[in-house]
Amino acid sequence: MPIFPQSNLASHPCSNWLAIIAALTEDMPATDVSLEQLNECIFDVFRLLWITQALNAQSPQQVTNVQAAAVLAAWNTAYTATAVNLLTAIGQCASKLTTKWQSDSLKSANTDFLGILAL
Amino acid sequence: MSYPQPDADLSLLKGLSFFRLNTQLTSPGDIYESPQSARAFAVGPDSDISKIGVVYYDPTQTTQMNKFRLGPERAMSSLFSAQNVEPYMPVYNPANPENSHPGKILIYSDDAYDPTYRPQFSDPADTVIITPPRLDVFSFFAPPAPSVQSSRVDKVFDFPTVPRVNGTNTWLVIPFYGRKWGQVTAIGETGDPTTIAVLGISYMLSALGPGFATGRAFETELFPATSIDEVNATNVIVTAGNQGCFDALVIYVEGDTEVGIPRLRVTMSDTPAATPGT
Repeated sequence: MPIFPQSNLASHPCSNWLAIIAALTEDMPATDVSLEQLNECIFDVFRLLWITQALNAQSPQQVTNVQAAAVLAAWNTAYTATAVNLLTAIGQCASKLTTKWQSDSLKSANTDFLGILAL
Repeated sequence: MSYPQPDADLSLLKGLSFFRLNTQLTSPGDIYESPQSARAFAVGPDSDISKIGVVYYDPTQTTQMNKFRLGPERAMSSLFSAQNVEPYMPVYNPANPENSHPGKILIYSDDAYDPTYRPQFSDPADTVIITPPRLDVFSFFAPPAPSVQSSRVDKVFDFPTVPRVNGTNTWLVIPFYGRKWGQVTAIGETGDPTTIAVLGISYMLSALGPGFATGRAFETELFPATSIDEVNATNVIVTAGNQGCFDALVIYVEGDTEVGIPRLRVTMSDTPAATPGT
């Protein structure tokens, strides 16, 4: 069961970013990902984290606490991060993805991230 | 993100020949969807955002997804499909409709925006007022006239009095994405000169990592802190050719309660100055 199901209209902003990240990841080679793709990936993941944070923080919530916690947990697991909340994850986004890119594991980290969210 | 988001279906049902998405951004991750195919896209006149990302269904791609960036220089005219059944990325969505992502048209700001931005030299007690950028885009249901333009109006931000908390400095952040020309006009209050300064900033998302303060940006001083009087207006001209391009203009206004409150006007245009070097 995906964390952001299509049947839930409120899930669409997050699931739309997940679809974009999934397409970008599919187009990536397993190794030697271009700098252009890294930058695009940083911006896309950054935006997903931001919209999750923003829609969770607003009242009424459009992203539930369970959904926000799932994104944070997936982020920490896939990108080997230690973010305690989504704002910290947003702050780590560029450096963590660049670290994965440097070790030639950006595509697999992205795939893990999407998989944990059951995309 | 305004929610519920504007409904493209409603525009069609009500007989409009276009869907207009005109909304202020509330976060850098705002993204909108349209289930209606489009024959053209154009930047709307009220847009502060200059680069708009558009994702559409493209069966020639292995991911079924393609995208382009729309700017104020030209409209994009063709048939852009929206699919409400066929999904993006079928490889990740095997026969499970809950996992599928129907190939709707997706629209988002491709310009950077950071609502947590604070000027580098601001005091923690200072008031930072960020004007959220407006995203305005037209999606035409029928082929538009060949003369359709993708252009933004010359925008004016008026501050008859600068809002501020007594005793603290105020930093006004005004969106300036892709503008070729801008002018900040300021005049002091009678008998009470005030100090102002103007910065040009570009948001620096890569600086959000460890070792950097959240909300950093590339900051360029365009007008140093200067006392302005109430007789002659002070004009600061910013051109892409001379100073460069910026995501926003930042105007510092001294907050001492002993000084007056200046009047400000910020004007901007996509048309370069008529005379180079001015």
